[in-house]
Amino acid sequence: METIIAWASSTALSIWVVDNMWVWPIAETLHFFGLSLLLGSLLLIDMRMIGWFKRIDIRATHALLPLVFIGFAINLATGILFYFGDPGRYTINIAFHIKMILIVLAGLNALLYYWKIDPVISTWEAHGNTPLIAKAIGASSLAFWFGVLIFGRLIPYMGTG
Amino acid sequence: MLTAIPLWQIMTETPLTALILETRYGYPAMEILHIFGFVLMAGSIAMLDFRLLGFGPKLPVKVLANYLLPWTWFGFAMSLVAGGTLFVVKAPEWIILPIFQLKMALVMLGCINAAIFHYGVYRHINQWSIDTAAPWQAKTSAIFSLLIWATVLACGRLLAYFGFG
Repeated sequence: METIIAWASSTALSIWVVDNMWVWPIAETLHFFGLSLLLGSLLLIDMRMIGWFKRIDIRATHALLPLVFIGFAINLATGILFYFGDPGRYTINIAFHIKMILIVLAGLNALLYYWKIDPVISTWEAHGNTPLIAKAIGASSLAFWFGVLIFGRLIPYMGTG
Repeated sequence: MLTAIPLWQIMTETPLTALILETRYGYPAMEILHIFGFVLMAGSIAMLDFRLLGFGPKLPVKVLANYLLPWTWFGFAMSLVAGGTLFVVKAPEWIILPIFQLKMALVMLGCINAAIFHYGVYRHINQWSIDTAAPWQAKTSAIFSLLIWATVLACGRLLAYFGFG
């Protein structure tokens, strides 16, 4: 871990974030925007996958997927700035570790969606119920992402040695 | 003679304040609920705004709005209650911050903008719910809504930098 911290602190990116005091607050603000986009659109997509609100065509909700990716891209980019801006803090932080694990799980869950749901969704009835696997993927997705939110907020409060 | 004590000073002496400050995770728990709340609120508002601006034209605006509105209210109530708690705990410090005052003014502006939309152009929703561009009044409201709520989020996040530690 010491090696990782030493390497990250020596990068040009790290020096840039540390030397420009406006980078951090702007990145945090953008991180909130990204979060709202990501969770706002997932709420619609995942709740429909779970089987709520069948009056909305399930394929129409999936037109919102680009917003999920835009939100995630914003948060990934700003998240990288945070990490390199203060590697000594994040590398050893328990809440940060849990958050990263949850993001990986959410990513695997998304892959499962692209493997099992995406190829067949066009054959589904537009306003019908959804199969069990779709409900499971939708519920897991919301659980993982809200977990990401919780542990993100807990980073300043939990286990920085 | 009674000395006038500001309301926000009295707030900090309530049992609620003591409970929040003395419980280890009391304060962050309120922050998490506040974030949950505004994510639900801003997320659902943004979805409707993007639709009004022409994104996902196959989603009927009326159906989408009916679905999203309860989430918006739920999120708003949640962030209001949790935010109110965060406020009460340090009320005298918050209230004098210009960025906090700006945030509150923008929240009110955001609500007024939403009311203008709902009691204005939205009353004729059946004429433009699906497969047609939303009227300019709806698009204007959507742009204002996105700008106002994004600025509210920004003010909230920046409170930590322009405020007290």
